[in-house]
Amino acid sequence: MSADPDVTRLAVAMADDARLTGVTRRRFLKAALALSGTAVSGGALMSILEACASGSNNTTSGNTNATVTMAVFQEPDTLDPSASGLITVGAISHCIFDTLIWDLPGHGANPFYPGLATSWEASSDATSYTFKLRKDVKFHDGTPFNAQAVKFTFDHIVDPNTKSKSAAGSLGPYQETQVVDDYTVKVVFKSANAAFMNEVAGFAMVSPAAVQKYGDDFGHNPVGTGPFKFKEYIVGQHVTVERNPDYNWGPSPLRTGPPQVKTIIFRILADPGTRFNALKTGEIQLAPNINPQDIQSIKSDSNFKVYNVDSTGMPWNIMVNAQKAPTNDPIVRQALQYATDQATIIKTLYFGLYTAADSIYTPITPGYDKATQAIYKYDPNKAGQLLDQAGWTKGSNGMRQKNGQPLALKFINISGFGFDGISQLMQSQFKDVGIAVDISDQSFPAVGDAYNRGDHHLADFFYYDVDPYFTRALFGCDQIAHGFNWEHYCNPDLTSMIDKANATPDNDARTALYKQVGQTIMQAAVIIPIYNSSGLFVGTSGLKGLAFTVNAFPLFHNVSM
Amino acid sequence: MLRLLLRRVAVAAPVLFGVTVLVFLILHLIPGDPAQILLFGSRPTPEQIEQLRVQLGLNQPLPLQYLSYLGRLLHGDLGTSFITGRPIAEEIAARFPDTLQLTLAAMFVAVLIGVPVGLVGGVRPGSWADRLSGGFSILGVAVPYFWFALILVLVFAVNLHVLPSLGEGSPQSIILPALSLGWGLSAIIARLLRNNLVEIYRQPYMQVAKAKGLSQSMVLYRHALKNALIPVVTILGLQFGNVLSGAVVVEVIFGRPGIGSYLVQAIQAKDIPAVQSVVLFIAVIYIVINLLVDVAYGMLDPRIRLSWAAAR
Repeated sequence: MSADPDVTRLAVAMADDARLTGVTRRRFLKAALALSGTAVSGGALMSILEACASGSNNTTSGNTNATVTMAVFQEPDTLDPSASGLITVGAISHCIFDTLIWDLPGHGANPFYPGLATSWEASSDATSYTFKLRKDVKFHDGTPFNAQAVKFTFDHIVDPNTKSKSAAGSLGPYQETQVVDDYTVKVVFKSANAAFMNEVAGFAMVSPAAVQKYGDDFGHNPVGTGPFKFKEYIVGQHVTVERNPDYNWGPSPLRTGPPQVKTIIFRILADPGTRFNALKTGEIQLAPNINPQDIQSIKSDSNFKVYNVDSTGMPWNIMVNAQKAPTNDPIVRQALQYATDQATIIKTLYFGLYTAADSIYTPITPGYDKATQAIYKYDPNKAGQLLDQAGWTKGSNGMRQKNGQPLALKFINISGFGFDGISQLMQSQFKDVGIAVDISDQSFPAVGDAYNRGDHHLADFFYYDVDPYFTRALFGCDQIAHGFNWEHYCNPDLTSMIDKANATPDNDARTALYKQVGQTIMQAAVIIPIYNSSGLFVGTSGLKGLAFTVNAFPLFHNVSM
Repeated sequence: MLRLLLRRVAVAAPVLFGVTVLVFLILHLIPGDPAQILLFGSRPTPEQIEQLRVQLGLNQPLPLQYLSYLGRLLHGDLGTSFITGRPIAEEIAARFPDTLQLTLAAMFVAVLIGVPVGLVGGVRPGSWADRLSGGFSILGVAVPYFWFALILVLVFAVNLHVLPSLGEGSPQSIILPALSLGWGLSAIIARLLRNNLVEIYRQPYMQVAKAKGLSQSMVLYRHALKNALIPVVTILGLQFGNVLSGAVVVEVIFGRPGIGSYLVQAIQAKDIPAVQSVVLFIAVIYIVINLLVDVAYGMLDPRIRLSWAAAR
């Protein structure tokens, strides 16, 4: 156990809890993507880190009997992290379970820290990964954590009976886990899966004894190795977890020992207004997804703290159909880019809470390239010039036409996905340059059929993932008819570039490839980025020490009241 | 009496039939293949989709599918939630007591407020108290209960800190949800009672009672109120279904568990079997309550029983 200089620096940094923001990976369309059968994951890391159990961050402040109540906005589907497909369960399972590796952005250039694994290594072809495990870890039911448990967890994820809604998709082309010895495992994939090193921080290790004991009911009796033990789940009301006094293997930048607060209650409150009121009355201390206007109202209130957690993945964006006339003309597509005023959209709809997007990646996603910022800037005059150049001239009513055909686009929204305001503002911005837009709505997943058929010119999209390999499902030529290539953009070079990136375990080389992917797509103007989404949480100011995973799941290891 | 009961059941049966048809059709009215919708999110293989189609009988003609759906319902099988994978009957059973509690508390509040307010107005029509009571009734019917709920939370929980904003967790947490849900009904009760009282005071038998020299309160309680309350009891029964459906929104606003918040979450999560079953459940309760009210009414009031008999 050597002391990593990074860790010391980070331990200092973490005292300033304002910096403890992480990255979100709320994969909203994850379920949909899973349906397409495409594994989305990626990211390679060839480093070997030693576990650093620095005891310096284990001091206790505040009330050791404290209870923190956090609102969650949906009922858990199951508390088995291998099976669940819901964001809410991620927050709860990070209390009950540990992962092999922690991915804690904001904690140094290399955000990966040892968890239940002390070291790890990728094979040069990115098809297998070897982990050395801690030897002092016990599950809450008293059974030991070892190589068998890791193998059991991954096998449990891919077991069809588990009906995994998310984890199996993240695991990608999993083949098997080999138990090398009691505390060494090798995870083997059927094909290159460089994304695994980013994804691995999301797999929660479950107690094999408990899964066997409870069977289908494990989802109501979760047993892990995490800082909190499961206490109760009252359907429709709440999930309660309690401190695990034996915990001694937490992530070193946060807290290795048992947590400071005794109890955490996750209260199911579906309505954002209800969550906000309960924050104000002090009935809860932390809530996700508060309305932007409510956040605006308490921004300068010292009783509250707003956590605006950056997120990896794809910004909220509009996909432009590259095969249907008139957007099959790249010049028309470019004009749409110049005609879109992101700043006004963000100011009008979100009170400026988000930043304008300029790429297919959010800025903290591997592969994001500042160079894409310069490609398009809001410029309605330039948009007009481009349209003139493409032969679309303005008529007496201010709208454009070519050979008697009006320049009209079909904007199909996904009902209830929050794009209504965006589409209406874009409709008016496009009208300013002489483009007519017809907006309609279809519900998910039926809208997917319409998008796959190419009924639309403009479609809604956004995606959360830790690894840029998600681009494969969105831009692969084989994803037009059934996948998520709703921009109907086929570029075989691009597809093979993404495949190559996911077979490249070297981080820098991969990132360079993904930068090229991003550049190519922006040049093709098939994606109009709107804003970089982030995880929004509001907490009371009495709540200290909150951290976030790369998936924007709150971590309560070092929370005090 | 038994014949009367059977007659009312016979009237309720077609309604129940219609409800099951509508609920059954929900799944088929949604565009797309129901099997794919049900398996959505679980990365199904084509074989799995086909297997589910066979399992659900989707390969059979629609009327046959409906019959087997009905068969499952009669066996108490409401299907399985596609979000949690648990039997929906269990999910509803776990939540319905909370909804029932809220509904009953709201009805209690409605009576507690509605009867005195109606009394005050009905005893002295035209007085300032009557006008006040009338104003209350208009306000009560006009103000939407979900808006009223938000105002109650803002005033009593957020600003005054005297009651919790969440409708679950402590004994007093039921107060605001019950008040916001029962308020509208209390206005109806008050108005109804007031008008009945005014009407009854004009009846000859009231003059006889007064002429006998009975005291004011005796006249009110023994003769007027007894008669005036009969329609109120009916309204209470008939409004039970409305209050129950109002609980859907109130539960969400107060973060209360119950079948209402379950329905909203099921809709958001596209948990179609759960939506179907909750809708069916609420409809059945509605029908059963109406049936019970009808029958009880017949038992209480011989005139109604006789009119039914005459209509035969």
